[in-house]
Amino acid sequence: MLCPLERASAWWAEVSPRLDVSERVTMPVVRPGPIPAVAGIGLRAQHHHDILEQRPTVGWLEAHSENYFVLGGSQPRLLERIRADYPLSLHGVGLSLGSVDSLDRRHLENLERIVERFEPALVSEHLSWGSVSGRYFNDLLPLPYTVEALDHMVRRVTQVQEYLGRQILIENVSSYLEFTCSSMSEPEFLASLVEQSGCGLLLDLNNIYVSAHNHGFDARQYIARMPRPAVREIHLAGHSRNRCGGRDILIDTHGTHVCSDVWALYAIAIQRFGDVPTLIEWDTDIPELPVLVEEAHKADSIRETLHAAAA
Amino acid sequence: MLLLPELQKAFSAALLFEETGTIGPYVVQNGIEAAGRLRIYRNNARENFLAALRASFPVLERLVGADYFRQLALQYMQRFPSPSGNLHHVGERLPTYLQRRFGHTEYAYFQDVARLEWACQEVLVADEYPELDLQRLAAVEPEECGRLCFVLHPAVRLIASPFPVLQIWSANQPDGDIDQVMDLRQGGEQVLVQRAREKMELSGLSEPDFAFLTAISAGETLAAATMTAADRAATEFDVGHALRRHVSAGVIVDFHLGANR
Repeated sequence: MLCPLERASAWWAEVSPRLDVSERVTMPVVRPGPIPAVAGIGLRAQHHHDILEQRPTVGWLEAHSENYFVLGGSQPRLLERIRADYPLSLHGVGLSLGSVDSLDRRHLENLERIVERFEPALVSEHLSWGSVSGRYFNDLLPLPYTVEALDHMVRRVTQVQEYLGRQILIENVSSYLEFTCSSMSEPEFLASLVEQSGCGLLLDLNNIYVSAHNHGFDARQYIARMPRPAVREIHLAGHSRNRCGGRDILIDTHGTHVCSDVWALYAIAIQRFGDVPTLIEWDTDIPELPVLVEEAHKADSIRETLHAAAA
Repeated sequence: MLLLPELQKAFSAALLFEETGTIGPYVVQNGIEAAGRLRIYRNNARENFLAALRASFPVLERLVGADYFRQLALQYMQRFPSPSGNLHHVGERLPTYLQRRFGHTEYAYFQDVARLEWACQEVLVADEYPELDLQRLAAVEPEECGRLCFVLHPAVRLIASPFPVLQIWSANQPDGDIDQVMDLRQGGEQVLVQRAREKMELSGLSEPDFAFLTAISAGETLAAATMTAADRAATEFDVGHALRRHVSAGVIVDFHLGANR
């Protein structure tokens, strides 16, 4: 027994003189502030290094909150380096705001922790639910648009806003079914949610387009009914077209270019809401970074063309 | 009129049990029946789960093939549904599932491969920790060294298997030799999985060394851990050498003094 321990004490007698006690100096961090009213792109892990090396000329970046809930490793470190140069928004997909399950405390704590760490200018989540009795589907499931569901969403959004001490934005989702028990339209539901909770809106124009096609409503009228000052961000993405029961149904895939109809909706939205931070989202079949940057520049040039025509 | 709790319950039942069930009458048909609409959601939930699982267990997927992996994943999802809105947690219980399902079969090594892969996932995202403060360590009186309780870095995992699990893992890396013939009965392996300089590293450990680190991670004193390791050593266990190696590799990062016995 003594023999190995003697060796151990000999070991630290040997290492102790070679000490590195260089002090760590922390510098105050200055980070880009609010999100400018121009186009940004969704930040995906495979582009971390490209963004640091190429420094693309996009106005801002949006990261999925859950991808940075981790405590250590390269991902949060890379985001910190990127954050030093770009305004940032954090976009959650997993809070399951509309579920009747109680809010996942751990999820909220993680969100609070990364909001403190990365200081995003905007924090957003979805108008959807995703769990029953602690069993998660990890999808954005549709809510019925009833007074009961509205009261529930208002309570939940208020709870999150009070917890984080800031406003959050709520995004409309693509949907593939509607409920017979809904007593109001989605725009009415969102407008009431904004009024009663004080949240902002993240308007996803592709989602409006997809749902409008799937349920047969007019996307332009939807946009016209959104409360103007509440719209603080716009999402643009691609979708796919599938056959279902002999009919075409659009599925929100975020896996391709923004379609021309959605670009047309973008022009309408800009005319109604003015310049709003606009995000290019791409989550499946993610292309090389320049493809996303080009799509963002297209959004910028559409806005500039509109302004030039108005001047 | 369904209230929100009942509606969500009925909707989730339709997703789980592959039938429209009681939610049917509450879905607007509008040219496509409820079953078709629900199928889209069921499919989305499955694909999201599957994609997360595939990202966490690439070696297992290579071993069993994409089709069987998919089947296995969906059966696992029925038994152990996602416990969180954060998809990164879905693989947590796959080793347990595989152990229950294949533990007594010739595929008993699946669970160990899965344990190793999950350990890789965990170390990549585990917390940071500063290096061992050697000056503080040097201040410990030599006669107290037996009471030292060392602390392993949060991004360290120790995996032991009765199968050559590290060889299996290596052969099934993208650049590995997948045609390599392996005798599963050639004996077990002990693996140290750690994140070092932001990269994941796997290395084989001798049995005594594994026992030593396992005892330390269980909070045992240096004296007790050294005895545990020495019991498994064929000749003698060189604790000075082991400490030097594990400190310089950033495996051991802290210590406190345990109680006198």
